[in-house]
Amino acid sequence: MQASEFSDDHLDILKELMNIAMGNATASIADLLQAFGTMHIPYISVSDLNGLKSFIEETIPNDRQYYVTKQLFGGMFGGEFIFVMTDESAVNLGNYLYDISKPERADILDAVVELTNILSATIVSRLTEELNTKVQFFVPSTELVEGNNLIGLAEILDYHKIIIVSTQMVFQTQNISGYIFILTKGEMIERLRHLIDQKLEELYA
Amino acid sequence: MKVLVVDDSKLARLSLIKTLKEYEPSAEIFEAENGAIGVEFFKAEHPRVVFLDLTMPVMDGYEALKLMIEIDPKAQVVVVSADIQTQAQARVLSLGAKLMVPKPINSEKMLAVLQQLVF
Amino acid sequence: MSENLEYCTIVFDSLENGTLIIDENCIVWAWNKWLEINTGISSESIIGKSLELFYPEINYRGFQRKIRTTLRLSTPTFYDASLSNRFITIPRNKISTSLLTTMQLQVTISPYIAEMQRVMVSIHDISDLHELKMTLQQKMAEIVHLNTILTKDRKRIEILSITDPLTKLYNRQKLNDVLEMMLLRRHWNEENSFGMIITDVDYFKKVNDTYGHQVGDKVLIAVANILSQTIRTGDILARWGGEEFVVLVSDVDKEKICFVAEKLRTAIEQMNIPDMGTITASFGVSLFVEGDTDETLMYRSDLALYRAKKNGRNRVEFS
Repeated sequence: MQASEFSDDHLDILKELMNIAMGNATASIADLLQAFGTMHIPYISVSDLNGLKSFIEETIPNDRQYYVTKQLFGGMFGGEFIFVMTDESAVNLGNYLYDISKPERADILDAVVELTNILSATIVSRLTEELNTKVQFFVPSTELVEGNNLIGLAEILDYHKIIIVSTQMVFQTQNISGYIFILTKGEMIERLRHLIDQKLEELYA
Repeated sequence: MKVLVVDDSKLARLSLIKTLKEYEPSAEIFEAENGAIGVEFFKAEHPRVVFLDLTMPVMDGYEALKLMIEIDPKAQVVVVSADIQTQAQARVLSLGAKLMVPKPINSEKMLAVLQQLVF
Repeated sequence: MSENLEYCTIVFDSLENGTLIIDENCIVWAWNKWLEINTGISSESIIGKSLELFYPEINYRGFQRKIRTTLRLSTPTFYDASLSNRFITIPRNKISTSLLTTMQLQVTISPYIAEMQRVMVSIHDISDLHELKMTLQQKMAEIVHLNTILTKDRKRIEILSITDPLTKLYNRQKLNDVLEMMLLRRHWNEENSFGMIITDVDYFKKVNDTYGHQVGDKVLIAVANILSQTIRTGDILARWGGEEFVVLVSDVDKEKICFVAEKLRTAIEQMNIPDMGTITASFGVSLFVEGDTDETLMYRSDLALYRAKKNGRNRVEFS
């Protein structure tokens, strides 16, 4: 079986684990930021770069500006965590976290980093914990992107086979929502499949 | 004893049934992959216990829970969910769920659940 | 144990970045050598005290929330390092640079002793990186600016190099280029070919001699204008030299191209030139046939023009 060949069982497990991880994230945000969120059913697929591009084009409207935060994580399982929010959502977030009616660019950026921090830490940690492994997080970086062209040229050269884990998170009261993407590639896909295989063995034993 | 397990994930159902069988090896189990199918089984089989997920396609757990309690107010519905915010918990309990347990379910959690149910 | 502790202190103080231990109430528990040197605050003076006493400008609500997140999730948290500095302000000692006067920091808050609610804050000076980025952005802007000027200049030079300065029509060079392209591209077909019209103003030497060169130039400009107004869009008109003009006409047969030439002849004949009156011109027309080169095509047009002159001028001849 090749790295890209994930069975329905593999995808089912990943989706279920993602559900649990998202549950953890919403609970942590409720606790740390006093905001109650709802989560969407995660979308999981094994794709290539064109697949990722068209998925992003379908998911994220092109006619806006987005704060895009990318954070790498590594260990037995590694990849990139991407959190995307509209500038409107980001302003609302800056507003909410810093209690300023007109947050400055720096406030917004820091608020976006803070939320991403919590999201990635809870989602990815919980996901990997369920797979009996641990990961380390690297410094995130945020940029303001015009339209939905989130994947740069340099990255195009770098990603061949990709696992896309994507979902949306909505905080109704604060009018904040964002898209989450977890991308992983190459050898990491093989490792992920191996970790899921172990999980499957446990289940079918 | 009839038990209904409603979850869109096949492996979540498998895992739950596995832990349930540790304590109730003779249970007769029905599986449904969304709320709508779950409600159909509920009407037809009158299960003693229902394990119900919340986030599902077609019909989510909240809607299914509401319909099941309408059909039988004494139904023993255990919500098994990844959404562990206090708000979600309060909402399912007010809709008539007997218990709410966070996912993933394991042996200890299953034992604690079974001890609180009436057979 | 005590040897271990001593070892830790040595490492702590020799770190190449700022490191402090702080609790959820922002009381400082450790302050390394790097911080002492770069902030001018000694560890004796700050340990046991709130950071707020020394740095009141930080948003402590946000900072405490980050500390809490770090402790609850036992995961590192970060400050955004892309724009302005949101943590403590540290002056830069570097004399040679003037872009940044305070350090641009990358701040990571890591779990330290969760039971004591303490975290470790590490501060990296990334000013050099930022300066590099700023310089790069500045240079990029300069390049873009220079490029626009260059493009404008290049366009102007390009236009100059293909234009006849007097009439503003294409010059001979450009006409040759276009003709060459047309010869390369064209697939010959009897009903749908292209051709060449050469026109020469009749008795132009007499105009120059009688009215002077200024009027002569006026005549040439007037002819150029009337020709360019009369040809179809897409046809190529150029000043060949002296009082000679050339038109390249596409998608025509013999009948059509002669009609175009006739139209041009009438237009010139009917034109009234101030201070001078009317003029006429003679026309030589040829059509591209298989095997033609620029020279053979030109030769036949010239031949036709010669016949038009010989047969009384102010007329169109085909060859």
